[in-house]
Amino acid sequence: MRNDGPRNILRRSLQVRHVDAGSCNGCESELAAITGPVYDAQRYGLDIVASPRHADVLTVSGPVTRQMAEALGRTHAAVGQPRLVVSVGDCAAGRCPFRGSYAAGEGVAAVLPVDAHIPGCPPAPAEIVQHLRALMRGPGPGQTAGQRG
Amino acid sequence: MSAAEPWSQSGAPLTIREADAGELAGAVTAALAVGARYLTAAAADERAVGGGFRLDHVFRFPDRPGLDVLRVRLPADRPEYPSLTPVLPAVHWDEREAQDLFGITPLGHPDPRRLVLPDDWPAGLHPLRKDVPWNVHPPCAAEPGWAPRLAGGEGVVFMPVGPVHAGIIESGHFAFSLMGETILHLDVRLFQKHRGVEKILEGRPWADAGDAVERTCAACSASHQAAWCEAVEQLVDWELPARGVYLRTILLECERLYNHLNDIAAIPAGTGFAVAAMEGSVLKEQMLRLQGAAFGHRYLFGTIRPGGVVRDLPTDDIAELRRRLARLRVRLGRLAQRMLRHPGFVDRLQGAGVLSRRTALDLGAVGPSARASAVAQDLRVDRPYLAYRAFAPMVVTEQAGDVGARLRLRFREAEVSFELLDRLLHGLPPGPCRREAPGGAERAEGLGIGCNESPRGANVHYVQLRAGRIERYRIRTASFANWPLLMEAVPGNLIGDFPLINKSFELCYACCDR
Repeated sequence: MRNDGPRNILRRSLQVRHVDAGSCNGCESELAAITGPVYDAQRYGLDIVASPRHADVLTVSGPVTRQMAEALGRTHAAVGQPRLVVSVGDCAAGRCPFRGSYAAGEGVAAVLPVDAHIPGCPPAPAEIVQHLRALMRGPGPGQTAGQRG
Repeated sequence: MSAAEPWSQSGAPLTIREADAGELAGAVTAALAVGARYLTAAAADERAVGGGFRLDHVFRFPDRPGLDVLRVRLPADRPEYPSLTPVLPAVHWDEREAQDLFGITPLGHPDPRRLVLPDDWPAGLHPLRKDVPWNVHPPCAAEPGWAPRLAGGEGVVFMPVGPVHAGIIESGHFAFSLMGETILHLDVRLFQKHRGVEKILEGRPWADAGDAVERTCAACSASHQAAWCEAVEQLVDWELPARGVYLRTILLECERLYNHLNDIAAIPAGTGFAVAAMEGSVLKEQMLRLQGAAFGHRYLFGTIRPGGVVRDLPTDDIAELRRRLARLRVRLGRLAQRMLRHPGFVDRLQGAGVLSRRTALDLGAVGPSARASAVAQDLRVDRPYLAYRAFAPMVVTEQAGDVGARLRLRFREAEVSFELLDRLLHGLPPGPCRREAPGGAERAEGLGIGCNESPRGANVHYVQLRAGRIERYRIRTASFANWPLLMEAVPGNLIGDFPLINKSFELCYACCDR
């Protein structure tokens, strides 16, 4: 399985870089809240980082607009291996009211390999934290549930 | 107004006046001379129904309740007219947008570069023309090739930023020309998030527009829903029940409040004043939770629909809502003291990102950005709608036009919103919160314009219906009006203050780009 490697390595900490690929700003508002005082995701080893070079996970929101496709691809390429891609919100999963228009795309999976999805319009901060933590807990090769980090 | 009185949105009709392309600049100059305020422009393609192109400019005159539409018809084979930008600079982006999306040329425009479409988009393909399919996908070039305008001279450094930013920020491209740390010039390439919202809406029955309209922008979602509903309600003469009017106004005020809390948290974050930023973000989260509990969605999606509001507030919830708002109000008051009495923090905001009153007026600034530069305008008072007709809020202004003025203004406006919300909740009339559509509404025809004061300023929806379906929909948001102000406010400031200045204008990319 493609994800076994990164999930095994990234068990204790997950550094997140986010790309807005055409959201309504709802997903950004909720993502920004996860490192705030209420949700405080850093206590789980989760953090938002400024550079894709520092990131383990690329989160992407929006349907991937025509104008953001190139920037998204380059940001993804700049994330070191192993890396994960997480689509955030319904638009990113292709359930966007603007899907397929002359300017909007079909969702993140149409342009990048997606490892996990966080559903919601927008997903609430607690749900985002929960999904990102689940990524850290995913069993690696040869692990059993009891060995999860 | 009395509690039982039905409420009509259609009391203020549109006046449509036709002009020749050559007379347009003169007609606009005359309108401005008597104090008319520019609200929106909208192009339309009428070639399929035997016409050419149509270009509407919408104004509000101070002495009339309705709106005025100045209409110019342009031939299908030569859609061009003398640019209005020299007499009305506020239209400079509207003209560039119509040039991209419709191929209508504003002759003599001072900056006719592309605005909305990417630079690798094929010339001559104008996606809002009716003969271009909604889902056309011309091939992309690997290098879109934007050439920003830069300052010249020895020692000037070019600093590109974006479209992907370092924080959790929307996408947009900035090109700074710097001398040392000082910004000489800023050029921006927005519309990276352009999703084709207006094209997607075409052809839909008016009743099916809600999911797209409310997702134009999460931060102004209630304002977008209300503007769409007002346009439709005007067209079909739909009266709202008094309770629906109050609840819709409550939703709009809640939206203003949580946005102001967000901005109040963002400004100290831009200076490294972490304690204040954290407290502000706690208050914003409390407001979002309150909205989720009371109205069913943290960002108020799906709350406002034609005829009223979707969900009623149970009586028990009202008392609890007022208590929670009162507690938030006290906490915000303490935060205001802590922030505005911090000499180091206040010093940092003073003189940063000054927008002069003259520039604000010339470029058509709206909302808090205009009011913080001593421009007293607010659609809630200037063109009262919904329950603002009975509960006119105080229009707050500040004089300095800097980051500090925009912050103080938001504290003061939040206070006004708390007061207004308490009065609206206290006076909430009984009865239904929504009324059924009048007969024949599904075949509605004509032009409706809905506008309201969003948290960022005037938000105008231009809705043309034909046989009950959307023929043309244009959304001109406060962020679209205000983005050009940023380019005027940053030169002379330090690059390190840019995030602070940018946050103080609180420009939304999603509803600018659409």
